[in-house]
Amino acid sequence: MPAAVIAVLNRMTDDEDADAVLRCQNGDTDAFEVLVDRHQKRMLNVAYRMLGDYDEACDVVQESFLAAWRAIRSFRREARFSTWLYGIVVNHARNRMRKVQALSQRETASIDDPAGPEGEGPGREAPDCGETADERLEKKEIEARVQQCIGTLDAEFREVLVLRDIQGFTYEEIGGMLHLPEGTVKSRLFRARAVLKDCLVRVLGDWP
Amino acid sequence: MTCKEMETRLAGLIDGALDEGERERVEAHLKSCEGCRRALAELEASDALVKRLEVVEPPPWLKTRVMARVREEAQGRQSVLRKLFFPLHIKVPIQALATVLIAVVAWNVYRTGETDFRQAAPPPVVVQEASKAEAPRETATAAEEARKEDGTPSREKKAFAPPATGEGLAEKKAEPARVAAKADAVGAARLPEEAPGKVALSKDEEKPESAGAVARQDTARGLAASEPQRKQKALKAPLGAASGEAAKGEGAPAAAPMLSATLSARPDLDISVRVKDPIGAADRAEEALRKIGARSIERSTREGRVTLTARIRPEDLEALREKLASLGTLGESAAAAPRPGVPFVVRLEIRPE
Repeated sequence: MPAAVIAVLNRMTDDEDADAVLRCQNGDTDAFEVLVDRHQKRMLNVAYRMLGDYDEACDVVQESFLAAWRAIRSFRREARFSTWLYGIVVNHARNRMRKVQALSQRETASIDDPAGPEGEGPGREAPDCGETADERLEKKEIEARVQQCIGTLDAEFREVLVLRDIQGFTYEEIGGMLHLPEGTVKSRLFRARAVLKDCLVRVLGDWP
Repeated sequence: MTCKEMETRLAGLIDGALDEGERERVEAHLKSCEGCRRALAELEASDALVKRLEVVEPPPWLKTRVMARVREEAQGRQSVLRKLFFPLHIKVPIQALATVLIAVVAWNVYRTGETDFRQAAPPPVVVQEASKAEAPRETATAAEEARKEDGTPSREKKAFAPPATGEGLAEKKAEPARVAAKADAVGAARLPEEAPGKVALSKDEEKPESAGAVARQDTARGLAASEPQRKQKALKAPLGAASGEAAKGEGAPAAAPMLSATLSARPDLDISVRVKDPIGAADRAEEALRKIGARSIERSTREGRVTLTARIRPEDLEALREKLASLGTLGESAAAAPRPGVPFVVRLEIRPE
């Protein structure tokens, strides 16, 4: 038996979504509801950490599920369904992020900001919020700083950081979602971690 | 290996992503570099913060909205299929069936109502035929005179009425009846006693109902007709059926009175007669009208007045005046001067003094 066939069979037997996907491909909307139930939370968290906005993230997840339903007949089981599905939400979130960034650039440029737009890339300095670390800083505030620093990353760095360090996907899965080799995923991730650390040092002051 | 080069490797070290050889080199560098150890600590702290980020919950409406849109799209796919095939398989046949059904019903209504339509509208051709029947009448003066001498009242007015339509088969026989009417008009002139009887008898066999209708009408009008006269009327009834007598009968449509009303409403000459006994005088006036060969004689009584309307020839007007003058006081008003040779309508109003 060819290795490719075996790999597909292994993925099918390993994929908990295989049965529901098959029913969806036959037009069963109830089966799709099962998939929504199973993946909506994680998809929302991916989108939320990429966008930093809850409402935008909900909107992106909604559009991603709809896109998945429209395209589910074309799903060929060459990867796990979840990999295919999270690839969709990352793609939608990235597109939304670019729109928001473009809008933000126009607004910032019009508000007399000589420093230019924020979050241009991993090499850029994180914004100086003007606050030193405070032991009385609440957890929510720390999280807000972290999210703020994540927001400074460029999209390609941000998405690998979110998928690996926040959501815990493997390098293989991330490579499958983003259609990137593992080496590229790793190099992007390491770079993203270093930039995020520098940002947090600046934001949180005398830390850790 | 410089500290700058170590930075990205340290980021890989924290989750064991470095291969064995590289990990050993990095760990060796860390033992001798305070700055890189500090950087590693910051990376581990940063990683800890990221991993402790709060997990957000999806709103309850998210799944509802997603599934609503998914189901809407799923139905949209079916709707497209329905738009493509529904008209072909169901809608068009229903429309076609409805069209055929309406056509069949309309055709049946037309077929079954065809005779009714003809009955409702009096065919003008009958009047024309009657007019034609008048022509031979002009040449049949001798026969008329003979009939007058016998005291047989002429029923020529029937020729101006529409055909009898109360009987189901009467219409189908209308054309032969018209022909017979003409034949009778001529035949009556030639054979006042025998031939008409023969002809009429054969028609009587065809239209016994019409004959009965005329007989009943005559009785109702109280005409003082002798038995032979009644017989003759009955025998001539088919003529009336063809020329309109039965139109006054029980089964006659409204078209016949309409024609009479038109005649009465436009008299060319109004003659009022003041008498002591309007009813008796009206009987004598009607008789006088018949004697001078008047046609389309109509009689109505209202509030003690008797109105007789008839079409007469201008040359008979003087004879009529003389007769009326013998009944009472005359008064005239003419709407139009009678033209020589053209029959005109005269209305006699017989009223008490």
